[in-house]
Amino acid sequence: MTKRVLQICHNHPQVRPGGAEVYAHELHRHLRRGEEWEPIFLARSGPPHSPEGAPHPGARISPMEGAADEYLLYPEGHDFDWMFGTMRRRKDLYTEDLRRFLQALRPDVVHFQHTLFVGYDAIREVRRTLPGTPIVYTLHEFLPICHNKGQMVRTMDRSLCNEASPRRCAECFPDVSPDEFFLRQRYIRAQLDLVDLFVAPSATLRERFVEWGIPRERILLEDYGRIEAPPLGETERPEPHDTLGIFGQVNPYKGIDVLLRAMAALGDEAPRLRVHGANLDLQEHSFRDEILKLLEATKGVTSVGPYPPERAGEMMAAVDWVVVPSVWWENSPLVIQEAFAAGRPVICSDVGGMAEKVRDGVDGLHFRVGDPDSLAATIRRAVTEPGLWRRLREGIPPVHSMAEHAEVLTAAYESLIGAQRRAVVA
Amino acid sequence: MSGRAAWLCDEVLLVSEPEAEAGIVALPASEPLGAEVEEGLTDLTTFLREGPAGWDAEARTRLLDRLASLGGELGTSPALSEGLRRVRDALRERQPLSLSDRLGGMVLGIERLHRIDERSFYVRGRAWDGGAEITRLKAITPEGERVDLRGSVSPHPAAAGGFAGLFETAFPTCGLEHWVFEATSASGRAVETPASLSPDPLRTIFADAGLEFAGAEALRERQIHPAVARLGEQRRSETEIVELAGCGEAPEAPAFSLVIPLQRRVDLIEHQIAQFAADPEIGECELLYVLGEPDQGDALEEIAAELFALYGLPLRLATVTAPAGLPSACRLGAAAARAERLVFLGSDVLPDRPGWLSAMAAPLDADPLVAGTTPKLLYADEAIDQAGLEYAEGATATGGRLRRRLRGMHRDAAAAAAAGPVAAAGLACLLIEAAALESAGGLDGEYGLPEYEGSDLSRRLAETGRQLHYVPEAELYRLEGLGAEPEALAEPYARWLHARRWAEAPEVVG
Repeated sequence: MTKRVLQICHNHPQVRPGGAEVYAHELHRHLRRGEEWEPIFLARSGPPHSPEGAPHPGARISPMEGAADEYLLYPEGHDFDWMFGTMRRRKDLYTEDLRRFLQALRPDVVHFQHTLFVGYDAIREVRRTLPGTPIVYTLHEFLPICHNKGQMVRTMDRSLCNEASPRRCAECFPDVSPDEFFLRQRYIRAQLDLVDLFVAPSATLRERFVEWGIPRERILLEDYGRIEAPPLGETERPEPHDTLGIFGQVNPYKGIDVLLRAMAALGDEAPRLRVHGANLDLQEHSFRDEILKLLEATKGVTSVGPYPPERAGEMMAAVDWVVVPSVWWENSPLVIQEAFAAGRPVICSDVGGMAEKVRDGVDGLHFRVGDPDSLAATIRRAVTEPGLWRRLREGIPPVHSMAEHAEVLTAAYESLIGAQRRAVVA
Repeated sequence: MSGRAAWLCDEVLLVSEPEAEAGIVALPASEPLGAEVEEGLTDLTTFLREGPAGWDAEARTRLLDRLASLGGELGTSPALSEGLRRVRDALRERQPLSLSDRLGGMVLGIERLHRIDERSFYVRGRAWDGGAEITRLKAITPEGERVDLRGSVSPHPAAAGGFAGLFETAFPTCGLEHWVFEATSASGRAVETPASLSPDPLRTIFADAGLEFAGAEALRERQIHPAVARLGEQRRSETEIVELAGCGEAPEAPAFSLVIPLQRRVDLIEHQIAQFAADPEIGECELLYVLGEPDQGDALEEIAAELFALYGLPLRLATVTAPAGLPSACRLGAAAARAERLVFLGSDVLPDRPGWLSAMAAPLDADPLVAGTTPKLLYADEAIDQAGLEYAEGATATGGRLRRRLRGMHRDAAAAAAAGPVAAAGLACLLIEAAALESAGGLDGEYGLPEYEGSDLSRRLAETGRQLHYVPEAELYRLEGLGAEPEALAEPYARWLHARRWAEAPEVVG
């Protein structure tokens, strides 16, 4: 019998592309192709991602442009509280709109891909309305732990943070007391305690959440899967291998400024750099101005702008090296999988999910996080050392496919459903 | 002038009666007016100008004294008060206004004037004439009553000639403004100064209670204690609990009533309920939130309804008819609670894990001498906030300072693991038998501070032969400062009152 899985996501990739939502939607599309699972995709819409409001007055959940298995949630009239990660005061988004939706669909599994802009209370509502339905939650970054956009980066100097505590968090946000941060921690934990299984795409992320208090046995270590891109033809590129590319979101944590400063430090030795960045327009003015100035001042840089996710492989095939210079820990950056799928070695920061997914000297190169000089030296080596590019390219592992990933996930879903049935019988 | 009359206010008519002792009589509006009076009606200003304004000072003073009593006879009202104020200002003898002492003159200043009740006031001020004795110090109410303050107020150390204290008027007064204070010194100089009522009397009184100087004890005993006691009595008589629209049905026979006073941060209810939802024992309880600030009643009802829809935990909600401090909200909540065992719980207290209620109840089940229990309260950084209360000086409360036991130690410190009797417990988390609470006289409400209220209750329980126990297995976090007003200002008075009451108390366990 077909089972129904409802994925809840903070955004729809067609509204605005982003790594987690692109992956979640790919998983949805993959499950749709099979016969065992009937997937439903519920994504939040409306500001800030989209100016559009709910198309039908009184209905905060509506189908996505007529699709039977994709819905958009419009939390109109509700203010999202960044501190506590939910809609404060008014809960009718959950107790009326989401409740009706859940009662109508009665999914066998609810898989939260993200609760940002949706709210942790959505988990509570699922548990209340569907008490026996397993809840799965994918951890995409450290948002439950860290108020600084889930990056675990200190606000005062952008240094990496190794441990959250009410006191340390209050140091990052002097206007908020340690007691408020304690409230935040307890509140979010109370909602996440209702989750049956977490999915962590990297060991970096899993270990941080284990330290935070989630039992290790409730976290499944499972990397993202990717839908296989169409063959790119010959991905080999002739010498010299001196074209770099940076892909994905442009925000203060992705380290594009580190890369541009490294390029400047290389001076006449600087290779070519293609910048495929998205969402710079959403960033704060000061950051945006800084990046635009650097882009203008740095030689050899071509700004290409955003790209549709399905063309990532094609874009990457046009460069020799993919640079991932993030100054936060990262989880399991999809750009690394895309680079590997395109046969491109990766130059990345030596921390977190990047260092975990890219093996230094095997399928890519590490440099010291946040250090333009270290990155400049690594780039110089990459473009000048004979045979290096080919050797690293040969070391690239097979990419974790969406089919393999979906098999692991659905097995976990089945296991949770089985455990629930056994609990009911007992 | 015979036959002239004027309305003092809508309810009172002044009629000139040369035969009357004061020359003028006041008639309530309910009395029928004679034709002669109607013919003689004029406005108040003309009435005063044509009549008593021309009298000598002594006659005018007699008239003012007579009129000042009208509020007592006819019932005070803002309109009557304003009418009397106009008469007072037209007829009274004025003194030169007090100027800054930098100008070298005699100084009279009123820093604070607070209403305690309709006939008593607390004043803090200064009367100084370069060391010359102040021979006369009077307050003149807006209605014209003159009250002698010498003998009422006590010295205050804020400045030379400082004074503070409680004084009473003979008649009720309702004027907020237009008070006048007069002083005369042995040098023959006299000055006056205007004054208005200030809000928040306790803030001034508690600040004065914390002063240390030669006359501090007299100030506390003669001025502050009676003022605080009157405010407390008034609050108790005026403040009632009002049930709000609740959410869901609490169990018919709840095992416990959790009485949770809410102040300022009504949003804290959401955090508490998020924790309660994971604890099956809470489902057997009555949750009674008592809002200490009536103006937030609508907000509380709205939040509670939203939370009930999401969490499904039944909630009883109540508010009070006048702003009430945390101990008062506890006292009123206790009277409304239905279970035989009560838990006073701060809204800023979150349980660390389920099971704390049964752990706190176990000593009561095991030993009939135990009337109540208190848990291990923690700070957010895992340090102990308190493991019960103790007294700083030895084992008695005499002059000692109430102290949080093991405060600052890590929650796992060996000393914090020992269960047993404690000297006292505060109201941040106290489980107590309702019957024991009642037989000990309930919560007093005069201290204003939950810990001193709890300590006082603990002493009274001890007098009835009952004990309070500390239960280390029950661990809750207390985020002090999120849920209630800062309490430091009230502490000196609470400490003094506690020592005053329990100075002769026998030693207690602690």
